[in-house]
Amino acid sequence: MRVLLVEDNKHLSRALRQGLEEEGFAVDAAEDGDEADHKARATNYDAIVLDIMLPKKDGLTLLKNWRGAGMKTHVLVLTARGTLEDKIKGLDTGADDYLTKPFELEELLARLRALVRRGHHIKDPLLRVHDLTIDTAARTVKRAGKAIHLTPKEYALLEFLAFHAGKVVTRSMIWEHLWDEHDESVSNVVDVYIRYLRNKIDKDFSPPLILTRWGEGYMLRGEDDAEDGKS
Amino acid sequence: MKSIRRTLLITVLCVLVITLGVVSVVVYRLSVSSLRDKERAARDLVDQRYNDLQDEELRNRADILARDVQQNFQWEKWALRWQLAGFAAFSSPTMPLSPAPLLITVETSGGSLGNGLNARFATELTLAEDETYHNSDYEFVQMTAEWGASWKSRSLGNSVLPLDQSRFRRDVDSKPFWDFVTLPDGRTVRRVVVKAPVTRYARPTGTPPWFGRSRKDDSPHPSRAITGVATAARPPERPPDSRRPAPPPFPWGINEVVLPNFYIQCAWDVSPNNPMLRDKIAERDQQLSAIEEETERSIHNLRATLGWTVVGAIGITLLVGWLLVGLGLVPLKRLSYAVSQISAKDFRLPLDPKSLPAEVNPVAERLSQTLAQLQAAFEREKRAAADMSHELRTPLAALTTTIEVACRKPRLAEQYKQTLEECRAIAGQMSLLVERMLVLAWIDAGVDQVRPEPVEVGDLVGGVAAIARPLAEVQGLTFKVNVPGRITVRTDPDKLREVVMNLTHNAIEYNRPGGEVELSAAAGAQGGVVLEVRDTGVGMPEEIHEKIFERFFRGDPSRQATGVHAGLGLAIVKEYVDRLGGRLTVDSVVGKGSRFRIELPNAM
Repeated sequence: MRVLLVEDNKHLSRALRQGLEEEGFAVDAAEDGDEADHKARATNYDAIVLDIMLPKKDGLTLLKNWRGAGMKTHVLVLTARGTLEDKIKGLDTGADDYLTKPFELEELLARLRALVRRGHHIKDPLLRVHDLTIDTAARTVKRAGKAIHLTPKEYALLEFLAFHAGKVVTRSMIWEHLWDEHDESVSNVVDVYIRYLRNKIDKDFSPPLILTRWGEGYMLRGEDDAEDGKS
Repeated sequence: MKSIRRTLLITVLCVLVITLGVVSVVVYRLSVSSLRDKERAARDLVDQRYNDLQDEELRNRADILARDVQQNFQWEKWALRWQLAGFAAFSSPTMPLSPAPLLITVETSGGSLGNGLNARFATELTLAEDETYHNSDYEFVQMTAEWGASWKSRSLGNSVLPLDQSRFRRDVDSKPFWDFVTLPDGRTVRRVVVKAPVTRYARPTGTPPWFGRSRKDDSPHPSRAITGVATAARPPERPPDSRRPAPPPFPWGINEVVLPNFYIQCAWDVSPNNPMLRDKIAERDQQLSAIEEETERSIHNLRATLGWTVVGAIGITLLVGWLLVGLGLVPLKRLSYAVSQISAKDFRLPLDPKSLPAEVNPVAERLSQTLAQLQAAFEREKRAAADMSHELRTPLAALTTTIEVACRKPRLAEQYKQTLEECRAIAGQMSLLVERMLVLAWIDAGVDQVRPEPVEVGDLVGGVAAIARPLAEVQGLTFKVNVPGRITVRTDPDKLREVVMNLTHNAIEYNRPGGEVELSAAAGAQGGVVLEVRDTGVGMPEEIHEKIFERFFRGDPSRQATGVHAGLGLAIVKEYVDRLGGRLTVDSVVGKGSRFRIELPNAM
């Protein structure tokens, strides 16, 4: 999942970025209002973590502009201003969630995951596709009762496919949501990761769940999908 | 708790009670004294009237006696006696008034009082006393004829009422006179003396009465008791050639006759024991007691009237005062209600000061102003607290997040070391921030002290420059120091260094690449010094020239949120310059740069 981290404190930004990336998020960082505005409008992020006191353009102004422009991305406001007034103001401006500094990293991650699920209109943290179970809260995957260990990237890819289960996701979609702006990996990195994932999920089980739609992209098998199209 | 209403009412009441008390006492005293005067006058009048009555009664008695005496006077006998007296005088010149051995008597019959008078010219005057004076113990009568005969009532016993005939000789009117006489037995009696001239006599048969003209005692105002008689008896004035015959001559050639006078003295005991006076005295006493009673009643009425007036006045004052004070307090109540509506969210006074009376209006206006100032201060404090919390929370969040991320999974030693370095940097910033906050808190608390000592400004500026120059050069700035000669000023070196350092840091921080920073010092007025820090940086619009010295204010939103420039530096500079007694001015043009000027006095 790709998030935009808008925070002007370099230390905090760096630490958060590392924490998020280690959780499998693709993180773009912005240090001031203008940069954040530019990036948010250019990329379809799964969520935005937004500090309010920012140089050049403060967070609330940004948020108001974005909502005014019809941007639907979920925004988690992160601020040092902890009064109720500030929270109400933030939420009323269009924030989806609110966290006061200092915060627990776990809480921030949990809230971000919830925001991402909400972005895909999913409420149950357990995703089930046939005998595959993805616990989006614990970030664990089981198939036929057997735990499968995935790297963060592999997990993120599987989760992304699961969010769109039964629907085709294109390579560019995958690229856009799972790799950040600094990633300069080769263009077939998505295919490489699909292969890794198949090795772990489909190799020892049947039926195969990750389907290839030639010329379009990949798809996680939906409940009613036929077994055709298997690569 | 003090109540205005109660205090005012009590004060007004006290004043009223004192005033009314004094007025009442004065009025009471004056009235009582005038009532007493009136009473005394009335009593005197009653006394007077009683005495007059008594005297009149006494005189009546005397007059009756006088009339009787006059009526019973017989000319012939008297004439005879006169002749004899003349003879006696001749023979015994020393005794013209002494009793003469005459046998001629005045025979009297009953008079108007029913008494009889016997006048024995020769030896005595007699009154049929028993018929007339029953209370003879208290009443005394003495008649004296001019020629010496006298009669006195039995009540007199051996004593004699002294008679001073000379009074009548002097007094041509022969008015009766009253006086008090003390009897030998010690009793004081009231006496009237009436002179009864003989103006008529019992005409002897065949003798014409015309001789009255020749009376020597021809008073034009004879005793009133005998006036009528005397006037009738007096012959008309006639010229000598009247046809009337002259009065017959006295026998023995005596032509001039002096008619005798009687002196009637009536007296009575005026003590209340006198039964004749008892009724009058009772009447008098009754009148007196009535007067006294009336006076007492008047005084009582006066007292009651004054009392009720005071009570009424106090009552009315209480009632009206209560209402008036209440009315006067209405604006205060409104103000108080309005004040009670003020909350931390809304500092406005929900009241139009113009609707209040002139006395309360200034209070409300002052209150509004104070509230506005309070609100501004409150907002500033709130913002400062929020800013402070923000400035501390952000590095804290960075610290915790850094640590949490590091702890999420096993790392290499190198990574841990990196994390620790990061943490140390964050902690360093936080510590700097806290230090600045503390400096301001100390200044606010007044515990910060200025320790002046001689400072060589050139050395101080040089020290700052030594630290700042490398920083400026890293950013590609030209750093200039301009201190002409030695300038020594007495001030607090630590604070001054902090001020110059802060301003220099700002000048470097907010400069543009290739810009310039200049530190200069010059001697100021009265041994002071003028320091200037000039940069060619971004500058500031004029409207924020004052605000930059407020805490947490950031003139440049593009500043890096490193925590060092949390907007406290200039606040500290301002406070320090104030504490050193100096003046801080700023001159800045957007895009061209700023110049901070410090004028420091020479501290004594």
